[in-house]
Amino acid sequence: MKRVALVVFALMAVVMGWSQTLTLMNNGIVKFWPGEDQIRPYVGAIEMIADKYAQANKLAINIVYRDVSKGSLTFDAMLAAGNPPDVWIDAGSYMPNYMNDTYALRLEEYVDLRDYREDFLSLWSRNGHLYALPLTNIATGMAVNLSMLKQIGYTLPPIEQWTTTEFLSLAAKLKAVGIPATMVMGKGGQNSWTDVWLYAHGATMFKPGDNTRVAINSPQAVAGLEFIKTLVDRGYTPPPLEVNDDDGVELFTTGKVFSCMMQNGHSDYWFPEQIKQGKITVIPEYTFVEFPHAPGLSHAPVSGYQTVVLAHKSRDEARNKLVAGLAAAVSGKEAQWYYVTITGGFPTLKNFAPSIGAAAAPSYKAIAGLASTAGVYKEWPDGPQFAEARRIWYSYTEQWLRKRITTQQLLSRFEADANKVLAAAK
Amino acid sequence: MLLPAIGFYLLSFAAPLIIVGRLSLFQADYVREVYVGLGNYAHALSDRFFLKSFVNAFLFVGMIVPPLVVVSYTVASFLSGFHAKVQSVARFVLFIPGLASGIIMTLLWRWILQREGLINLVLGMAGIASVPWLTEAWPARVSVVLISLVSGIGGTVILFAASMHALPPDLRDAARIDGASDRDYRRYIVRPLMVPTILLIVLLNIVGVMQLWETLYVLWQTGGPEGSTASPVYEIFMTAFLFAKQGSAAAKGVLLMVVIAAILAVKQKVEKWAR
Repeated sequence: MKRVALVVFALMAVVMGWSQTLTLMNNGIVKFWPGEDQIRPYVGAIEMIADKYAQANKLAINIVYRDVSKGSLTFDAMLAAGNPPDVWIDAGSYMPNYMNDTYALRLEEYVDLRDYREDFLSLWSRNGHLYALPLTNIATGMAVNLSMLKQIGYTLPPIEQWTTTEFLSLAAKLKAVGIPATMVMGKGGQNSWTDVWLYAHGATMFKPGDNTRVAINSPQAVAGLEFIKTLVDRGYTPPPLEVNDDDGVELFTTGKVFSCMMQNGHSDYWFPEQIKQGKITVIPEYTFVEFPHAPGLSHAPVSGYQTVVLAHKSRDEARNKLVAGLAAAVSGKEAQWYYVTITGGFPTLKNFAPSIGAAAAPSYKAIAGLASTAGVYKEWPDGPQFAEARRIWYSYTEQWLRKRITTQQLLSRFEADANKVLAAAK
Repeated sequence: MLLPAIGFYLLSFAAPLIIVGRLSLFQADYVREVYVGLGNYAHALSDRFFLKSFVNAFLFVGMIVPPLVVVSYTVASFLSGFHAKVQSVARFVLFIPGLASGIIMTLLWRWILQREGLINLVLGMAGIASVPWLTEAWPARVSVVLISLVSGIGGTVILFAASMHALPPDLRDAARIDGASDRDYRRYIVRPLMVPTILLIVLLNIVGVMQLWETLYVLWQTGGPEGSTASPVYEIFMTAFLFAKQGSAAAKGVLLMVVIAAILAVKQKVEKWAR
């Protein structure tokens, strides 16, 4: 009996000595979606995948949940306390500060990346190294009411002719029958859903890979803002200072405006809801398209963001391999399948397009390809300094929409003030 | 006997004040603290959003406090001529808006004030163009005044009524014997005796208006059209919890306290002068 006990203790000691505990920080749970027979039900898909990985590698994985919706300070606090998570799943906009060799693993050295789409990998690469794996992509598009186009006898042109000039011509036709062409949302300042027109003219709030200072003051931004002004001045939009993005969704899904930026989730939820509330009797024909681009450009990028997986580097190379493996597991095909079919996110893997569950919706299919053909932008990274800088943008754009300052004053004053804030935060 | 009171004072006032005062000298977020001396104060005094919030606060004080005090005093004075039961019912009715949760009342007001809301509906029926109550600067300020008056009058009337009720009844009898009318009694006897109460109520309302926050945040999370309804407390909240600048927010809090203390000092001077 003593011998058996000794053997058991010895085995336990070997296992304990060899096994490790990794920490995975998740920003939420992908839950079982009831009522969809084709979807394998599981409460906590990421947890299940992490559990499988733990068993396969004889690990313990401690999963913690943290809400960092007001910035990455929760993570910073964990880092300061010396216990940052080995693997962190969250909105990619929290990650730029950690995408470097000091903190993150160079994932291309550990993970087989052949299945991932290069365009998404490039978004999370710095200086030729990949510091985060894209788990899922959330994209927006320009929702357009096709029934209204039928009413005026207009057919959407091919993408190369879908320009801002063409859109102004369409807007005039729509105005003639009393339909506003689109939304300029300026209540409390101009938000990202309107700033898309700046991107459609080739402007960007930040230079790629550099979130240390805004770089919006450019001829392209001037052109974008002047285009917005044209939309407003010609009466192609509802009064901009009285509407925000919520109003945009409301007006589009009640058939009061031809187009609006939104996610497919907005339309899928709100059209049936508007019928329930008696605001419309039938869902109009609609689809998602790219925003019209400025003449001379080929596409207008779509506003979107990725949920990504960051892997923390340690001095223990064996641990690094395990951490990278876990990061790959929780962002791989199985994880993406759950995200796509349950939450309606878009995959970041090549040739991977499940079409059941949330992914079966026509609106999902309409928007699915936009990010890949048009490119994706996320105007503002998340974090307190960006919230402060964004408030300055809102303040100046509101003044600009009220015609208190000129376009050039808006851009130069904003850039100066915002960069002061960002510089102070360094 | 004094120990519990001193302990309570230390815990509820002195300790937070010391902590906030110390914090105001540091550049601090939730994680780090770096000593910056008076840097946060210098930054606060050059922060256009914060300075504008004081302009807004003083405008609100000017727009809310005088009508609130005058209307409340007049109502309390008018009610004092009625039977006690009538007074009591009237005070209760006036106090109802003040009893409801501020957030619920504000949500109700948002519905009333929106473009297609109740007020514009009534204006429309009278052939008057609708007013952008929530989306233009001055109408937005007027909305705040309206909400503050409706929710504040009840409590202020009660304070005035209580103070009037506390006046010795022989004063009225003596005045009548001397041939004073009701109007004379109110004007030459009650009003001078009410000056300390009026000054106290003015002060309380100034402090209250300077600290407006709940209504403004529920109606406009962004500080209102052109920042016209951002109050100092709103700015402090944004600085601390959205921009994660705890030290800077603490400095702004101290500055707000200094301004309120200055108002208190002025009130003391006025009170001495009135006596």
